[in-house]
Amino acid sequence: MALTKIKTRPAEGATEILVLVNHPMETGQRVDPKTKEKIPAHFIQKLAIELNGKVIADVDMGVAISKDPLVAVKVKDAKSGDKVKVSWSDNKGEKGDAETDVTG
Amino acid sequence: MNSLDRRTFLKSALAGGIVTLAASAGLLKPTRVLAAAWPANAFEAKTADDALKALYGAAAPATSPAVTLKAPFQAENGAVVPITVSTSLPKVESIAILVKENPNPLVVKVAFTGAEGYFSARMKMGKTSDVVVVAKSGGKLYAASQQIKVTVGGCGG
Amino acid sequence: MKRIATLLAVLGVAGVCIAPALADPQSDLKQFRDYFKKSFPTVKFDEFSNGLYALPQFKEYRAMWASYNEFPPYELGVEQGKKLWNTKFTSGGSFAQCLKDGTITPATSYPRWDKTTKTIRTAELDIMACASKAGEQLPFLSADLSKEEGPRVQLAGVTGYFYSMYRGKRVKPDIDFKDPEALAAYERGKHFWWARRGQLNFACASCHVELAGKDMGGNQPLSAGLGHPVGWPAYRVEWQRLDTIMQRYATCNSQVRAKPFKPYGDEYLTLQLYETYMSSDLPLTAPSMRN
Repeated sequence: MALTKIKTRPAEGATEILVLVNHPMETGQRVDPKTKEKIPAHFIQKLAIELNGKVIADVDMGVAISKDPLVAVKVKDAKSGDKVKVSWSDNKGEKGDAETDVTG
Repeated sequence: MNSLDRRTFLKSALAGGIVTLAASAGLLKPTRVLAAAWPANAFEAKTADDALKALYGAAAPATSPAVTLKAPFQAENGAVVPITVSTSLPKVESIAILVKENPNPLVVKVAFTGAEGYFSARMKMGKTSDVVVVAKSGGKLYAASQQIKVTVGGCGG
Repeated sequence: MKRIATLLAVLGVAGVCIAPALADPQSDLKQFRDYFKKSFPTVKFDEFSNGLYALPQFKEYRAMWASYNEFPPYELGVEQGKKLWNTKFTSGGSFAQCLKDGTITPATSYPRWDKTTKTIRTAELDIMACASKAGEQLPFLSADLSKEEGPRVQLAGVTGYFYSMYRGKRVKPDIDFKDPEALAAYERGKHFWWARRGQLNFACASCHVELAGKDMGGNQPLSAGLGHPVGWPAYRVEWQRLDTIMQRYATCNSQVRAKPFKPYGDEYLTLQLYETYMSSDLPLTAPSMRN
């Protein structure tokens, strides 16, 4: 399962949640220098961010999100120890998830 | 409960007639509402306006000071362009980011159900282009735009 | 470029040949530092560890670099490297154990001159030796690291994790210059740095001394030689992956249309030795984001 990392940090009266996922985000246009064939598209399509079991942001991504995607959102009223969970799925049906507690 | 467990549960439950009770108690309902489907039409659209029409039923509105976009004026590398969108609008339903000159302009769309009207990401840009960000709030669309220069080439290794 | 000829003379390197009688690493180091201090008077010594991002001409690049640093993508590779670092080998032992027993020495000591084998040892070499000795089958031990990206990136991840434990510590390569072979190795590295090569006829010095701070073609910012190696292994924005210093040397040589040399061969080992000695006492920043 591709590695998913979550960071939280205070940001002007709110909490910023940053998510980093190890994913190639292949556009489907890149040509493999060895095989001369186009590398098939392989990208995260959906990524959901939950706070204490409730989805607070639902991200729809396309191939133009950079490799090893980073996304960040902000949420008010998050306290230290609150649970953050991220789950994602890609166009090949692969999935990933991670959990962490809000710190600071 | 995934479908395999449900089958096993049903098999054993049928023996004792528990199924009827379980169904009426709503125990067989999926516990998580499925998220909205990935908007393929919007991501496959070839112009920013078509992508926005597919997402919101309307093209980009005139720019508004209520939406701020923070991105470099010149990208160090078109493969990783950092961009942050923020708004002063109340109850933002969603934010979309589009790169006009990309073959498919829609980069990402995020729907908020608790998080603030704020979103940060790193995106790919094929060449110098205007970047448009749209926020939906109270049923209305608000936009901001900026050009990002992308220099291609150099002594890449 | 006339200035390089002058610098070469000042540093005791006549033309492209070394005059060993003038060799004195400590004086070389002082002159190297003084040159960059003079060229970039507003840059604090420690800041040079940040490569091109330290230079005042590259403020916009630095702003983007700061943005990447908020959650740098190399953290993924380093996390995988950390797992591998602490995983017990099939026959017992681990990378962590090798650091305890001295097979791997502190990151601040690399590259070091090994008196027993009379060779240069870098962190990657000792990391590979640790696993080899234990008979552990890891892809980067048998791969052609000049060609096979996957195994090389895995090695960069382990090395990156290793270096991350020493972030901020000052680099002091362990070299005994009283050993004539160590001094000769240093001289070969110094020669490589200052010698022109390739169709473009550039020396490392051409870009990283003479033209440091310039932006070639508007998208090729040139870093100063001072601080060069302390951010490696690095995640280059251009490559979108964490990779080794050996890979950077090879691609850099290709950029000036010079033949790239083999990773861990004498050319690049002596080059890394010279470059790191020239960056003595700078704080380690590896792993880092680079252009």
